[in-house]
Amino acid sequence: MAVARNAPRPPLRGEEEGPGAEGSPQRSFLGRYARNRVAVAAAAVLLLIMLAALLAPLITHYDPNATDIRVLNQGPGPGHLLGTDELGRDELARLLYGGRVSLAVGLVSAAISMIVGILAGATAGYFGGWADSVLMRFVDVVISIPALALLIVVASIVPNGGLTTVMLVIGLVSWPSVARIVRAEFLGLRERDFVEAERAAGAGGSRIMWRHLLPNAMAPIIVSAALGVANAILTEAALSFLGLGVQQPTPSWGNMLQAASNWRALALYWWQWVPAGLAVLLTTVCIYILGDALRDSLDPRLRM
Amino acid sequence: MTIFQTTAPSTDFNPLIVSSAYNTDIDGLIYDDLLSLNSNLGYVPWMATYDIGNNGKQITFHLQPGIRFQDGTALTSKDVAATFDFIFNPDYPGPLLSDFTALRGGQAYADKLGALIAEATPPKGGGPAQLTHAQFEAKAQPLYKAWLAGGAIQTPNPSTVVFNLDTVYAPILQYVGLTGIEEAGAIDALATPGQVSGAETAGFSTHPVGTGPYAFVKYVNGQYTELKAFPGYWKGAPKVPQVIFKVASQNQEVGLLQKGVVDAVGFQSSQIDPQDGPLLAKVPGVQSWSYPQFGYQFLVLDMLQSRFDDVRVRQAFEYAIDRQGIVRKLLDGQGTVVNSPFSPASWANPRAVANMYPYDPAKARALLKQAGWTMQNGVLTKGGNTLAFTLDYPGGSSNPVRQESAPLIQANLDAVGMKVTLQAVDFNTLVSTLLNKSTSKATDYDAALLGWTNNIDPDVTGIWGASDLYNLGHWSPTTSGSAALYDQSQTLTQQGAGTFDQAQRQQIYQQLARLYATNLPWIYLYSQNDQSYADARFQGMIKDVRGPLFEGTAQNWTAGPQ
Amino acid sequence: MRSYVMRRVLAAVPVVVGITIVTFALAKAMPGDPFSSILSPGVNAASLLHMRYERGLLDPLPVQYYNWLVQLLHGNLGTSFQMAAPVTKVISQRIGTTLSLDLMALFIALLATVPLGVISAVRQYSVLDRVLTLISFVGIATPVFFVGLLALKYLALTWTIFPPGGVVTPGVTLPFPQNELDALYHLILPALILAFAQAAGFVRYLRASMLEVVRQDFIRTARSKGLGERVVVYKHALRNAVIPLVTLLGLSLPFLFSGGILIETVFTIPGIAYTLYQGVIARDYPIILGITLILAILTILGNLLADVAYALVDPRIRFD
Repeated sequence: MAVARNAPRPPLRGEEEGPGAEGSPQRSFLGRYARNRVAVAAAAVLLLIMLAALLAPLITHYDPNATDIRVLNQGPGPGHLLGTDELGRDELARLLYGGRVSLAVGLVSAAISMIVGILAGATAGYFGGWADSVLMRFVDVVISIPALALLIVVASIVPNGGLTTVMLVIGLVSWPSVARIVRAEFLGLRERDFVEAERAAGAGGSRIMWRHLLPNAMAPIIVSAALGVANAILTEAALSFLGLGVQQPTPSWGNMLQAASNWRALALYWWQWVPAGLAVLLTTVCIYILGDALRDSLDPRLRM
Repeated sequence: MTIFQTTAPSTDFNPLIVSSAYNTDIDGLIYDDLLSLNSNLGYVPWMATYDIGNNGKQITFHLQPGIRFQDGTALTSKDVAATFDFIFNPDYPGPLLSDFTALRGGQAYADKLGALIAEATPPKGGGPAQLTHAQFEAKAQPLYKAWLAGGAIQTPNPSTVVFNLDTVYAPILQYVGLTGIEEAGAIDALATPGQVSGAETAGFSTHPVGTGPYAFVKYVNGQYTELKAFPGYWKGAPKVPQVIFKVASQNQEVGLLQKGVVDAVGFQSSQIDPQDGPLLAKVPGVQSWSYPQFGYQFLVLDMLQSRFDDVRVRQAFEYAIDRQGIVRKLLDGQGTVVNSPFSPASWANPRAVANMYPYDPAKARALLKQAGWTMQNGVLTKGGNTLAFTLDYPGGSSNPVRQESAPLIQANLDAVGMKVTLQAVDFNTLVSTLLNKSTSKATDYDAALLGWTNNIDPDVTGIWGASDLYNLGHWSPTTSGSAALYDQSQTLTQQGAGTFDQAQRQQIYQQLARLYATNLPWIYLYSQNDQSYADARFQGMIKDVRGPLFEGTAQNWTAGPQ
Repeated sequence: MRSYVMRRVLAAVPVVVGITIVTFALAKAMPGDPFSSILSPGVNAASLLHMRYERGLLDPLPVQYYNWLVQLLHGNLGTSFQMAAPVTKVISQRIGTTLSLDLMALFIALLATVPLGVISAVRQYSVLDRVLTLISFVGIATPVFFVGLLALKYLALTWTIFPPGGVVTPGVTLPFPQNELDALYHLILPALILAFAQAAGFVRYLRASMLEVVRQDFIRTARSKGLGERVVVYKHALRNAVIPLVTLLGLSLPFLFSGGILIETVFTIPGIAYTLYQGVIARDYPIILGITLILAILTILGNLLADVAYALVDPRIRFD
């Protein structure tokens, strides 16, 4: 095996050695992960949020889109646990059903951007030369047009797409940063001794790329995948602020948060934006913690 | 006085070129008009008195003495003529020509110019145009000269301007009488032949000079426009020394008024969010007023689709939609349900149609049943047709009340058996889809929510003629149900514009209002009031439908001590 | 090195042209044009046709693009439909605002990033690290516009610590230093908000790459040579850990610009980000093309600088 991967790592100051470090890869991963209590809590919270969104009909009997003109902007109370919005719709129902939409947007968009980004970045970083130049110039083109402006343009060209459009558009404008990160990792890794060793042993390009480089580049990829899910949720919120995200009446955390752009709601109707804001914050922060913990636990250089 | 504006104006303050309402608000203080309006929207003399002769085909204006532009130049009839001649110039980059085609030779000139443009346009299939731009210029300028020589606008002496018409066309009084008069010298400098769109960026347009009470000082990019009192104003020097139009986003109107950063919100185009009303009213030391305006909201149905060409179906929409509820809740009561194309503010609006369609879902269901629609699989169906359709409305930052109304309308229609899919669309996308509608096929859209703002003059020419640009729902001899009905609507429209006699016009428009209210080429919804809130130390603003920024009124504003 | 830079600049030319073509195609693919949203009595099809003709909007698309390119070679970016001003003037008046805002935000962000990122990595899993981690997560997770709205309401309007949006105090003319200070004062709050979001991400990356680096052989070698911990961390480790951050800096201009659209909207700042957004809504093609072009050039420059800096800090990367 390559030297670099077996090199002993000096412990950092303040870092305790994980007890799972000696066990099998799986056990050690889970063990290390489980030791991070914050990360376990984050995973639990995230799971809870996902469950709540999935089981929305069991939690509330309200239809998230049912307007009721008699109870506009009503505060939380026994009838509507989280109050109502400016059209008298139940905020709790919208929060739960909106969670489905926002989580779906996050996951699907991130998946799209990861697939495209890894393919492009790995190809560019490993092969270099012409492939790198062409791919990176294309990345330059996409990256130089600000994502939000691109989103606005695409959203007005494809008005009929709805949710799918939002997912596709977010995914397709966020891959270049993934590509650049993957490329940077591959650039650094391909010069390393263990790759040279593999190459000398006669391993093919794709084998080296996917079996050796990718696992070694996994740490930043996982971090950026986690960031990608969270970023997509946030991008949808930003688009909603400009009125271009998931469209009414379909609820999303993003378009619920838009209530905060109304002075009146900001000053008087806290229940119209605080829960959605907390949901976005909690979900994205938990995803970040999760990604971070995964990064620490998955680091192949920690495996024996 | 600092006035809140929700959208920055264009750097071009020439009211002949830029039609942005945010510019118009500011231009109203800089420019003065030949005529003015009283609070009943009747014409009254202002910079000029007028008389109508030659059986309504000649309007003569006599300018008041002693009127000066803010740069000291005296106003003469030449300035008036130059202002309106400019609109006919082939290089004129603005949209107003069609307002003035009733002037002598105007329609013929516009037609010839249109033909030239067609020749100068590359054909759809590809290949070069028949005329280059230079050739277009070479042919258009003589046409313009010929029109000028036709004597449509004459200046027999420095204080008299005569407008000659081909046909009696009452709205011309608004177009000529309520347009800001510009300086002849400046316009001549703009109107150089071949200067394509140079007029927009010329110094004169970015630094306007008029005869109004306030002079332009500067416009700071997207931030504010500063005006200062013009001491030589012919009606007396304004008392408030400085007026600033400050741009900020709508959601800050309450905070900015509270903090005294702005002194007035809700003036003219920068309408307040109606539900902010109660909060604004609580700001200490604030005065408020509310008045109807010229705009209204409507739902347009594509009547080329057979499911919408039955008048009973359209009437069912009016009964099914809780428009009173929208006004009461979304507009905080500051608005009116409308049933006809005439704004509640206008003298043409008949009281008789005001309560024609109360909210009555049962009545709606009955009408639909009577029209042969029955419930099948949860949606009204008739011979393979269903009342399941898409309702488009402008999303983004466009009119938040209208966006809020969409889900309510959806729920209302659902309650009578229609299945509506909402679709928020970018404003420009939606309007261009509606305007580029094909006149033969019915697939471009089903239904849409939009707003329309009438002129002060109630004329409805250009909206419901079969080939009119704004005939969004395809009102025509076939879709209206009977050719006679359609013809009657067109005849009344022509008659209404064809006389200057207001009493006679009122009678005609009441007939037309009843026709449109009954047959509903559009589903009329509601009209939002303009609400204004201002620091009470400012007094003297007019508080009626003309709006506080109406031309020639700001010299009466006073400012108390801070 | 010099020839590398030259080659990159030359290679950038087709990228810039590519960007303008893509932008032009996308802009024209949007339904409607600058005059299609006019809903006004008195305007008819003939006058709309005349207005379109006068502005060359009736020409075939390739001709329109070619005309724009020819204009560009004469240093003219056309006239904005919406603002009725030359695009070069609009951009030159507004780009300063956006760049001041972005650079200010970037500067504040970097100022916070280096010490925080290093501390976070060196004291991995300490209480300080955990707190910093949480704060930076919250920073990344809070939408810029949302913080902006709250800050504007509470910091500028409820407690008047900062000015209520805009970039100048309206209606007053200030002499030289005060005028600039006034502008600076107006930009602090939005810049802080942008910086917060930006720094949060930077700290995470710096921490992650510091942790990667300190595990590598050469750090061990450095330690074994008996170098002091401070020297190891700041001289050897930081130098290498900064590499991914440099890539990120190259990327941050469009990111800041996207955040700029939101923050400029919230704070009524007439920068080019907000102007581009308005231009897209109004189908103001010259504005869309002009701003995208300038932005593309800036971004490519940023990337080039990042790559050069990359080479300077990472001896393993060679230009060939």
